[in-house]
Amino acid sequence: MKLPDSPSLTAKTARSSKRSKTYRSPSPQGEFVAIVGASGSGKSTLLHLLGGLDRPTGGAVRIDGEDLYALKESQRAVFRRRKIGFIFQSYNLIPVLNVEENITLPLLLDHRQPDRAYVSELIDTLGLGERRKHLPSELSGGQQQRVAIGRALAYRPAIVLADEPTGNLDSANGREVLELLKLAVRQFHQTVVIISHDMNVAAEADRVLRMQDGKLVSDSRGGVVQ
Amino acid sequence: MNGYGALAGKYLKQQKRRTVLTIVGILLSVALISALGTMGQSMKDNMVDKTIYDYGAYHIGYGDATPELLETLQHHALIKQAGAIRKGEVTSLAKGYKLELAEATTAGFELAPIHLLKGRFPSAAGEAVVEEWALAQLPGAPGLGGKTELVKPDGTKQAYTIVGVLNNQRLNMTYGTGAAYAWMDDAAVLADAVPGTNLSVAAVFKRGVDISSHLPEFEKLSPKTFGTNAQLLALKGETSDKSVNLSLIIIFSVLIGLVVLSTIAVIYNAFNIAVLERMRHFGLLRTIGATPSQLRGIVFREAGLLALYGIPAGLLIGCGGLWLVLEAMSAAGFNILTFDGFKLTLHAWILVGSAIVGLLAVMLAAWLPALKASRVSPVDAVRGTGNIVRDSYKRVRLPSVLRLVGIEGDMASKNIRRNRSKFRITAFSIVVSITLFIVFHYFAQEAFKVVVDDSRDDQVAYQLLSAFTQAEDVRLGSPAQDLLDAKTIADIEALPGVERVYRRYMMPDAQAYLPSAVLNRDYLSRLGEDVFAKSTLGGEEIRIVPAYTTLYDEERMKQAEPYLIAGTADPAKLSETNGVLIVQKVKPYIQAEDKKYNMELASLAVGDKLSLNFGTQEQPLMREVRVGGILSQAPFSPTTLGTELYVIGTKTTYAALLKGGSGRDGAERHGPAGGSILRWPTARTARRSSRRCKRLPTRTRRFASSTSWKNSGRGASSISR
Repeated sequence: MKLPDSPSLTAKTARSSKRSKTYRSPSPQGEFVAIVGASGSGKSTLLHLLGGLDRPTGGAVRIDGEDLYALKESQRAVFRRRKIGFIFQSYNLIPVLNVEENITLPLLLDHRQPDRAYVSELIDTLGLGERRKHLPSELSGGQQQRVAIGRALAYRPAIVLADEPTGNLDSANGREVLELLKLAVRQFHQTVVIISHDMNVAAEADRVLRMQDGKLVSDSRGGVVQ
Repeated sequence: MNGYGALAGKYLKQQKRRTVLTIVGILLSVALISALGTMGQSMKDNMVDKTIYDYGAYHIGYGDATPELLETLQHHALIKQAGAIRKGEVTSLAKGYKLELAEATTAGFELAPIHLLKGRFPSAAGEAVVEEWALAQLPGAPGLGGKTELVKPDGTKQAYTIVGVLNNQRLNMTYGTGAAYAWMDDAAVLADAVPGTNLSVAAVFKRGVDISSHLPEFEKLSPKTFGTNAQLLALKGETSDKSVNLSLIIIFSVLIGLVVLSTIAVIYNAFNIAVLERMRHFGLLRTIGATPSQLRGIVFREAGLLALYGIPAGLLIGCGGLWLVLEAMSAAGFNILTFDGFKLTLHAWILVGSAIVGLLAVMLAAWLPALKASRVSPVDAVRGTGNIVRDSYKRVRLPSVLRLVGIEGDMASKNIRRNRSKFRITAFSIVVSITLFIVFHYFAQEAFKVVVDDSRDDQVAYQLLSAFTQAEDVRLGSPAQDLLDAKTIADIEALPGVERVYRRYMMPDAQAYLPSAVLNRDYLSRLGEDVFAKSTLGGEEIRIVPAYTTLYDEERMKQAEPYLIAGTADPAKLSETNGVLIVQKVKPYIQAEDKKYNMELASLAVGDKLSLNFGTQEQPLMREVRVGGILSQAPFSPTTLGTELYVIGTKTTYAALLKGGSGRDGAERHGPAGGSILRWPTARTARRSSRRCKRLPTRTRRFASSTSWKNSGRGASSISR
């Protein structure tokens, strides 16, 4: 499976107007990027800005050549459900929907009928074949996070943003989730941006960006840091 | 799941209890709205039906009409139907009964208040319809299909076939003159124009004609004899008198408005809580790409789903419930809003209207919560730090009464401040429900006053009564006979299902001479000092208060027992002490304030002497009784009076009172001028003694009547089931 366009990501953001910094992260398709840093270093804020959830006080975020914050609120929502997949530390599944429904919900919100074969393959790959009709409350933490991964991959977004996906999991489950994300990068050629303060996670990444006090301080690839 | 919209249903399913409660809320308000609408419309329909039943279906009519007038009306472009009735001659029957035969054209039967019990209206010459009771009095008692000979309007006798039986008319029965109708041909009416044959012509307008604007034009046709069916036209909103319709509309709009308001409050509250609880979910939906309008859609869809279940059920329960209540009330023997046989009429527009109003109310209630849901910030939802809903917690140190009741009050006060909007909604809901309660209570009391009027008369199944004739007027010397003899009454009492028999008696008017001191000052100031004439009696200032005197037999006295405030209602004890029961609670209508008051007329006590004048002002006939008991109200209608003192006596008491009294025979008595007006008649003829136990059932009330002994009549009996 190939994405039609090579996704590229540009983020220019600021936590306040005084501390403004530009990150340029040309990510070729199928790259596994980790953003690491201490608590409060601005990782999550950066991720929310990349996903179009928050609102920057200045600068721009471009995904697939589109300036996210030049779009209207509803257009940004549509962009989000087509181009961005989210995975959160606390899974954030819809409690009234079962596994399959949670995974296909973004497609339904987009008024599209899900590709059944692809969704089935995804569910099987995630090891949830037996559980597709279960509600989130009937699943373990690791299983819930796998459902969240499935949801983020179901509509083949340009980029998957994962915010501490292993934070609430024990080490075995955490490793499994990490493996699945890596699988997504390899098998589905998915670009994944993961933030974590876990150095083990960073070690698995193709590329590691390090943040400190709201600034990008290093790039393992030697990317442009202005 | 084929679309994200299914989320709405899933949320509702998960929150079963709240969903059911909300549906019940919608159901109740739609039920109330539809029941109110149906009740209002039914009231109007019943008023129209009753008016048509009593007065006929015609819109305009002419008495003493010419055949040309009928022809003009029949060919008029605005008139749908015109008919004629010719008043007839009287045929004398056995036992002093009479039958009056009138003739009507086919349209005349439809427009006049003539009501078939069975059979059909005459449609050919030689056919007639007769009132049911009169049919039995005809020679040979012919049934439906039988033949009889009657006097035609032109005075000749003719044989008629009876093709229909008419409902009995109370008034006709009372006066012993039955009604019968024969058919007459329109062409015959037009052709054999005999002026002065008591021809009446009536007509109805076509549908959609603006009747009120055309009335003057029709009045010109025969200004002297023109008349309208004013009541019917008023109900149809066709006269300048639109007050009936307007007041109905205002009352029911206010009630429905209140219901709608409370629906909105209740549903808004339910939705608001449901949405606030799920703010995090809405935020999550936003992160996976739901647009604000999609979130609004989900909330509205939930509202729509609830309405889908609540509204039809509400319509069903509203109309069904109303039907049940009315059915139960009729079964219990209440007359609904004074209608005999109130019929519920269902109108599609009311049901559809209630559904639309209910749906609008639900959607309006869901509006703000939906907006709130759509405005959730996705970041707040994913930060996971908890509070999605930011309470505007202002640290204003307002003094609160709650803080005076210790730490619990202090915490309550803080909580109220923290959840200000929730607090407001709750307070608003309480205000609305209290308002609803008060308003409905008031309306129920007002609207059903006639019904809840606690009178045993409502339980009376039927009455036997008869009008008295002039010859039977006691003033003219020959007292009326009892309508029923003791044996007949005993027979009636023995009938299965008869619980008790009340006798009714015709009583003369009287005036109570009350010392000014016992009269209620408040009453006098409200009704005016001159409401009762002043006089003196034995040197004491008195007021002349009209007295409503009535006689209770033992059965009636038993019914008075529950209302006794003081004294006794035991007939034997009352008779012994020359005692009467009085009701001094009155409900006067005060015109200046357009209001009825509940107050005391006087403050008489048990044992007080009561001077009653059964004569006239000029020729008094004074009697003295003692107050033996005081009732809070009378058990039979009228239960309370406005400007009269209610005096209830036993047979023995009244027999003594009336002994020797005569309204005409007043030569030895003189008026109140100069000294005492009290002059006890000592030697009287016993002429009046046979008058006791006489009372006309429907007695007309008079104020300060100058002649007593005015009414007499045959005794009557009421039978209670």
